[in-house]
Amino acid sequence: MAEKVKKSLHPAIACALMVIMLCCALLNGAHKAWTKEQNALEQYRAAVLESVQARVETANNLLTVAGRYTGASDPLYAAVQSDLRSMENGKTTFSVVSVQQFHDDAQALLQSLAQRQDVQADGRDNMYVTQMLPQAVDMCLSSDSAVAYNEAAASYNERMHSFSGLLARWTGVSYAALFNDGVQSATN
Amino acid sequence: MKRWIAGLLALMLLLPAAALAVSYPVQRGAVNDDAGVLSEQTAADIGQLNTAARSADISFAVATRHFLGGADAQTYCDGLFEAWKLDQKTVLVLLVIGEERYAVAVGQGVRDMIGQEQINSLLAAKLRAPYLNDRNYDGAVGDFLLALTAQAAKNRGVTVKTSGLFGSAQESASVTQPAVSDQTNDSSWYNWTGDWWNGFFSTDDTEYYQASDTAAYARKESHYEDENTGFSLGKLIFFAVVLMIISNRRKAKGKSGLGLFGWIVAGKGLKELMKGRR
Repeated sequence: MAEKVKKSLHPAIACALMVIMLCCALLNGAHKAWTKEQNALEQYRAAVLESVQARVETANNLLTVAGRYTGASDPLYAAVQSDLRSMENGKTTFSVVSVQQFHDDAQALLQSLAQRQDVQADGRDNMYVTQMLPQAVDMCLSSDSAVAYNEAAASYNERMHSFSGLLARWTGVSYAALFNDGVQSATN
Repeated sequence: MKRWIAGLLALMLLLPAAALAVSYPVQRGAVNDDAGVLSEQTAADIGQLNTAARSADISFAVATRHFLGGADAQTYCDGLFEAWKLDQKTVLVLLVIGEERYAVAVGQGVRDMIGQEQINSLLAAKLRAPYLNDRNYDGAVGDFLLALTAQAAKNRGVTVKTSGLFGSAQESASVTQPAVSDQTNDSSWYNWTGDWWNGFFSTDDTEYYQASDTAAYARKESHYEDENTGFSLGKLIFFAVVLMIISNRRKAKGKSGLGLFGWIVAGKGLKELMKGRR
């Protein structure tokens, strides 16, 4: 009897081990695949945040130079100042409309400064206003788009509802965060 | 279910704008003229001044930028000092050309030697006017660094030859007072027991070791580092444990002990352990 029990136990143990190994392999595979995609999204998100930071810095630099010749009473100066405040408050940071708006306001201010004689007389500020700052403002337009990131992240989140996504979530892989302007709807 | 998921997505954070860490440029030597306002002669003179001023226990680094993008100049300068891991005997001068601002970060060794008030007065007297009024960046940096060197040399009781640097004809002040010998600055002497004892009661290891010279600190560090043998103590312990597990099986067959290889590995590990405590 004992011999019979022993003989029946060996295949059962082997089967159980096989099932356990299969489950581990499934979990490991799901985790690796989804983690790789999540990392790629994270890098994309970091690039978008860097471009936001660059826009804020460019706005600050422009206002620093412009502040030596004009002030908040100038509507062009006030427009850029308003754009900067909105960016810093996180309200209109990511939408395509706000990026274009900032570009247009900044270029208008730069053009008005470039036409001033006192700016033209100052070699340093003339260089800032005609070369360095316009280039920086143009670069803001071509920077990484939060809209494209949001589309990729939304697709990723949707696919997380699949079976492999479920396995990945069990192993600690999380949903991707979305950029959300205050002007957009919460459900995006 | 879908509503719940949509709600979860909707709860994704509104990511804060412009809340990123400041990035600092990589240091490329004593002079990092990103704004391109310093002449090559000035950069060369700063290098020569650093060599000459070693006896006065002071060195200099200069950085120029067009803009800081809204960051505070002093905060940025302090961060740059940390990011570049500058010595405590270093003075870092930051000129922000487009914003017409400047800042200076001073190591603790220099602050102890000269004093923050004196540094501020030298800044106002030597750097501010030529920098802001005349935009004479070479002159501003040169005058300020020479003045600091002269003060450091005076405090140390040494002579620093600065003639010809930054267009100057004078040498730094030398004094008749004898040099103050400071045995804690003798980098050729290192007592493990004494330094460990003092370090144990020091509130800040960095401040303690700066007094003993960074060379002594580096030597202490090397006692703890694996001397590039490629085989760390952790790995040795791991292999020893594996060998012990294997040897246990040998016990079941009537044999006992670690075996020759196990003893060799254990001995190597013990040697590494003792090396760290020497």
